[in-house]
Amino acid sequence: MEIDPKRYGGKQLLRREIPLSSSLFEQALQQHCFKKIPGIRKEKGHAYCNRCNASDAHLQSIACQKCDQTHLYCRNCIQMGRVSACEQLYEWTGPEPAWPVHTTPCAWNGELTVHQQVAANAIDRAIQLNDRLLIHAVCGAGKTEMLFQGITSALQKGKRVCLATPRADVVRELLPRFREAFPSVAMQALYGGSPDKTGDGQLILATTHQLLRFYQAFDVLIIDEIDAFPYHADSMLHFASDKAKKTACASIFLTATPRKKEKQAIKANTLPHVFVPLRFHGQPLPVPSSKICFGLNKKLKKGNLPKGLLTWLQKRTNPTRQVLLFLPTVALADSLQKDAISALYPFAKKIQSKNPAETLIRTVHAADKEREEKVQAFRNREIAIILTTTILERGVTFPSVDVAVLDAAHDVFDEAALVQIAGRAGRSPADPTGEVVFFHEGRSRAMDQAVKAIQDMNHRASKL
Amino acid sequence: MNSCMYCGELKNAKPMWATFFWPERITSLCATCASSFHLLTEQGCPTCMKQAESDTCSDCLQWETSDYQAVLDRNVSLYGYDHFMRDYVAQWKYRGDYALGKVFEHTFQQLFQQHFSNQPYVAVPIPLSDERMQERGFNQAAELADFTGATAIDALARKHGEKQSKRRKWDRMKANNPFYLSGEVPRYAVLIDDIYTTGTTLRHAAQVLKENGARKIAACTLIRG
Repeated sequence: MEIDPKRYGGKQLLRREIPLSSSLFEQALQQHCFKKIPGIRKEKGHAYCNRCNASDAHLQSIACQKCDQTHLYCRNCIQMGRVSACEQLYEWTGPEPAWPVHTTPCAWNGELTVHQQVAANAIDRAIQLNDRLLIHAVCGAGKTEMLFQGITSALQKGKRVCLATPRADVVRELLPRFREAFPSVAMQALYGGSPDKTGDGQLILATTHQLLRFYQAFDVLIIDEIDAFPYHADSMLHFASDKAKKTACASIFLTATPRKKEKQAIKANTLPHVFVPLRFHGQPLPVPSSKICFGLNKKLKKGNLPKGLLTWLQKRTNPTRQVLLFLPTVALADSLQKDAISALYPFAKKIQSKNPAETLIRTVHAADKEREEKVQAFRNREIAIILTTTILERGVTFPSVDVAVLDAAHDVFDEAALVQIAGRAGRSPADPTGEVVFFHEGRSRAMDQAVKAIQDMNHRASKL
Repeated sequence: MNSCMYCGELKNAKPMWATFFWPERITSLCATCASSFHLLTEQGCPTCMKQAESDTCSDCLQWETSDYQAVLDRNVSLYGYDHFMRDYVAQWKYRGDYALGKVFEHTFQQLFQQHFSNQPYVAVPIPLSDERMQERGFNQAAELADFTGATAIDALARKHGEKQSKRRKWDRMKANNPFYLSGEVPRYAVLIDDIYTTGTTLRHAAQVLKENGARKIAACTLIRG
């Protein structure tokens, strides 16, 4: 039986990730289709994981009963299957996979705004020249659509493309949009627990973690939301994205809220960049307002909601908009009292009168098993008010929402998070405005910076 | 390491004189994770430690009328089974994160010593099948047996079959005995495993030991499921 190079090409895998019978695998090894790489390597007295490059404290010993020795294993990337010193990673060294050349892969026939077009052209050029490019586009600028032109020209040359993003929610949201835009292209979405695991598509949508399995795989690597946790904090993910690139590879970075490092690179002109300050529907970003609530922390700790929130809900200009309610921690969301939640019922009823009020208010957080379903239900307007931690701060689009942040001065809400959160409002052309309110008990620097950044972007947009 | 071994959050532990003098008191988990293990407080069923019972529970009574009568004296456990524990054990056992087991070293030893130091008990870890061992590379029961401080003997071996955790209660109770003898049988044996759920596994193992001459057999498990 022939082994399909598309299945294993550009990857470094553990034996258990290669579903070949042992006889077939032996045969493949003899034909030099796979190269063995030790799971853990030693360098200058330090040990490193050969998959994720973690060292020191991330590597712990295991009394392995498979080889009867005590040796190191990697805890850092253990979620993707354990790499240990007595095992190998297998890199495909067989024939290069031949990716099809598509003449007209893109079925998307929407129109780009002038600003989107400028960015799309720049992306296209960078992809053709294997360049690096940063796209700084405000929330709701229509980043995904800007990519289509460049991806099209890559596919026309038979290139392999990967769009990586730190969040699984975003991958799940992008998949149907890309399926629609590129219907004839073999495409896969990879994230922890994704139904597809083979990763043999020409176009891969993946969480940045999943890049760890790839090695010199892509001609084009697009990283969405480069500033998002955990990408900007975790050196492993930088390593992973470098590893997944071919030597000649175009790198496109997308962000709505560049961090210090990118800002400096933009200023110093060391990283080519394009700025898109205007939303695709042409309306300015909603500027957050702040409301002070005395005794807010005490109230939240006791499981109550601040009065200010209810007053605001009462006075909203459009009471039929759904509400995204951000809380700093899961614990706070879980400890909310029953009567605090039931105080929200009348407002929920106004948003969606068909369903019983109890089903209209839900909480969602990172470790939530029903997270996908809840987000979908909110999108379907089956949930009126969703209480969430920062997991819904970015990448997800709901057409018509108002946004409230409780305890906006909390540490988890940094400038980027607040800008992203504010960017959830007013995303649809049918309802291009929305209210964003920060409830706080003393402003934080991040709040001021976020408001300033948004005003700044609106200012730059108005001058266009 | 300054971050929690399990959740990865910063531990935020303040240095104190106590940690200077007793560095072993520094735990590898953060306070939140460490306090999420739910210690069993009651004796419960005197045989199997099922909580919310004070007399011998119905399961144990049923065992005593079956073929497994009097094979297992009793079971002692340390923790209850909840969502947190389930996820923790999954990471430890199925993902193979060996280091997570170390967290229980001290407490598990205490539990064993408290109950089984009066007689020359020998620890017998519940084995994995060879196939499962190839898959995971370590046996969590053997790791626990090493913590007890008692001599550990691999007296048993296991045939390959379906995972217990994928079976239903009734299927588990009537399942065939997968264990067979592979070493010397101690007179006083304490079977070591990570979890006591229905007690089937432990009774199967105990029966093999009993038939081969063990006089007293008890079980010491980390979790009472």
